[in-house]
Amino acid sequence: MDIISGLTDDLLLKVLSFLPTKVAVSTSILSKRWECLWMWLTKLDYKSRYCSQSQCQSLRCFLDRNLPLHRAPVIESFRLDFAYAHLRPEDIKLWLVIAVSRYLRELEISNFSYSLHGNLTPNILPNSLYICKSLVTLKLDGDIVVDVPRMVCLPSLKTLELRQMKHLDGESLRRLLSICPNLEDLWVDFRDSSTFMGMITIIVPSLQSLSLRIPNEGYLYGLVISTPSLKYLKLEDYSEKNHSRLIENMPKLEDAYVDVRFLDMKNLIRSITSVKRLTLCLGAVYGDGFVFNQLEHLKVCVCKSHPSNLLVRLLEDSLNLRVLDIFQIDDHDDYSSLVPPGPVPQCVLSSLKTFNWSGRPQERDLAVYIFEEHWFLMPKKKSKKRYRSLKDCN
Amino acid sequence: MSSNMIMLKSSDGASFEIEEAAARKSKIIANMIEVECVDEDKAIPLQNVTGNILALVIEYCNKHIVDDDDDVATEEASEEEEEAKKKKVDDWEAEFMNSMSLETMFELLLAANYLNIKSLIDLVCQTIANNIKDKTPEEVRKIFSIENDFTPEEEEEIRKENAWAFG
Repeated sequence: MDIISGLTDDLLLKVLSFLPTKVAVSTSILSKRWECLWMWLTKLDYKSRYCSQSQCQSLRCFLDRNLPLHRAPVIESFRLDFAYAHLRPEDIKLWLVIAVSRYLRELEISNFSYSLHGNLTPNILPNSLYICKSLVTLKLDGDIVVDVPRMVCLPSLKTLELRQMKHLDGESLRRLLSICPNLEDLWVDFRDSSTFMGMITIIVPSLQSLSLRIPNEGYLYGLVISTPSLKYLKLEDYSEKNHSRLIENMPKLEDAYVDVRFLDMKNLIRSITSVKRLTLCLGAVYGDGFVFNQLEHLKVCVCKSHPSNLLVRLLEDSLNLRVLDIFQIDDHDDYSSLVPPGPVPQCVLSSLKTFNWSGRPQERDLAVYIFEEHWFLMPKKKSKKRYRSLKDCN
Repeated sequence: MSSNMIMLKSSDGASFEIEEAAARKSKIIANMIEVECVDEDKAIPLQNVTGNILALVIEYCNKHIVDDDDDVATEEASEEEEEAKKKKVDDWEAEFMNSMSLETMFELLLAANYLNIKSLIDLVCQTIANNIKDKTPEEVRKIFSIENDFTPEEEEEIRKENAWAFG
């Protein structure tokens, strides 16, 4: 008797669930017991990246034959990862119809196609997707058109990710968000070469986490964010034009990562003043009259666009700050040289306990100068790591 | 912190003393404690688990109960600390699984399933899956001593139908 026969089918299926779908399917050859076991898998993951015509053909035949026969009554997760695959959009759409009909909970599609169809990206998302009551997570990446029909709703959708989507503009995003009444987690990353974004409107009362990236290229008319329940915000807005940006107050915000290039920041800064942890890269100093009275941990990027007097302003506005990190965001341009910031009243620095430097090593002397001699913070403890903790004044 | 001790008895009569908090990793034992079927002086008999396997289960539970306590105590732990802690657990688990034969692994899986310890079931299944991952079907059959009951024609047909998976 084989040692594995002592295990129930449920346990064998559990073992299969830890394998890539392709490997799990290949166990069908082991013995009669194994032949159909994989067809009970609730997580299916099909990949075809840069594959030859014949490989794509064999995936197409496999899915056409097996997907309608799949035995699991519920498909927990369905992932399609197609990069430059020779697959017809109508076939992909059909597979999605089948997956959606099995009480699908998670759908993830990455699709990059050859421009066989000129500028026209074929629509692979079936209409039935937009009424899928069980769908909790939807992640789309690449050449996928979102065309929301009328009178639909995704009542269970909690997580939505849209990355590098061709033809995604503010209006199609607004329509998609309008059918997700319970969305908690949103990630939108507009395509770098996207030519038209128009007006970006994010009005989602239930939203708790938002990551939004707006590239420098492309037409942007404006940005409206109204998310009163937000706890986490990551805003990367590289559009340098000063369009209107209406950002409403986020009183529950705890964590924010803000990397923006526009100059009129009043609206933005006012709405994030409740944060506890803030990572910041700004192209200018924001205006007067803001207090970050909850802020405990501040990380400031000192890349090329860092204005030298920003640090002092931030310290003056953050009286409960405990940790200050000076660093540089990975893909940002190096600064030419760090200009020493101006003086800061001593009382401002009284709560600060830790200062970390992870900028360029050649400026470490300057950092030491700022903190030890310029701001008179005497080091008590020096960390062995590549940055130094210069103050530890309990 | 006071810690109640519980006695467990394996199918071959070996007795083990374990902290209640660790024993609660098993949903079955946790349920028994909830409905108060546990007599303080009496050992809980586990008819489907032998002593050597139960010792492994207890080793696993003891290791993981400490980690769960840490989670509560250090809510504000930094990312680095969290990562270091996770790596420590991962390393321990890798070593733990490495130390046993496949037969023991299957017995441990059956015991974890019987006792309903989800994280241990996952760990063992993941390890078995890793053993299958990069092997040919012939190698997998050999490792797990699975008898091939297909005729060559049947096998050929499956290879054809599921050609994508063998490409």
